[in-house]
Amino acid sequence: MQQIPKQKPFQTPDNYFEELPEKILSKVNRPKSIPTWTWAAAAVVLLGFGLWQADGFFVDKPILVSPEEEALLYIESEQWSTEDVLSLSEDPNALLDQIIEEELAKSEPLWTEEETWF
Amino acid sequence: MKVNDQEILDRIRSPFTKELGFRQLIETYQKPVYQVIRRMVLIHEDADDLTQNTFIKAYKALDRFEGNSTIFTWLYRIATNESLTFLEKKKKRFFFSLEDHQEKLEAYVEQSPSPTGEEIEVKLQKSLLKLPDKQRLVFHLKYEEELSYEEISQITGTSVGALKASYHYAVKKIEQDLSHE
Repeated sequence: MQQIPKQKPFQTPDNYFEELPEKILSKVNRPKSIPTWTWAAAAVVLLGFGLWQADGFFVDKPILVSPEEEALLYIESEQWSTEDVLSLSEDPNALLDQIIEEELAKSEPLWTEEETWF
Repeated sequence: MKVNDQEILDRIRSPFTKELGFRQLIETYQKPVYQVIRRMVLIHEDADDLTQNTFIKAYKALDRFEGNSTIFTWLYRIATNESLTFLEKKKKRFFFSLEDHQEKLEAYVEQSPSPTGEEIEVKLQKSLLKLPDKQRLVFHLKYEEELSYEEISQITGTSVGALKASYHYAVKKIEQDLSHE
């Protein structure tokens, strides 16, 4: 045990701890805003819906599927890869974070007695 | 002036002094909370984000804090959960990304000078990165922070027996690793 050294505290940028309380307080006092990517996603859905509606007026062909179904078809038939779908999003990182957040929420709690620790 | 937990809580519970109380809570605990997170995620920018998130979550949950544990263990519980969730997310993200977070951390240890510049510390950091995240956390809390098993049990919600076993294996692996280097 003696050969394991104790680690020293990590260094931080100058004035980091002097400025941190203010940064946190400004965030908790800030009114809750809807993330930009949510608006972008809503705009994409509305645009898609608009085009779908317009399609019936300008083009003389039967509408077989909704845009959502069409997108699903592309994904299920593997014409669109995960990267393709993500690239359609304005902020793929936010989308990924949301997916992972939802997955984690469904998964087991972080600390469980039964798990193998070794 | 050094304020104690009870004074901080009293101030937070009064609508007139809530912000002052929360500021004192941050000022009192920001350094240990940052250090425990930084030990897990290593990179300052990530530790900064997670430290802020920890206090924001604490702020939102303050009304539900019943005082069954100390503020310290309660904040550490949020901080360690934030760190483990962050590392878990990074692992999942690797499926979609070209960047392996584990490799990024190893490169960080390799490139960043240790606080004392000693080679043994770099070796220890590299060795710690080979441990499972939760085992690494138990090692930090016990060996570096010198918390008791009872305190770690409160933070992690895990039994003292499981923690002792986890710590024992962590120490054994690190000792083996360091002696083979």
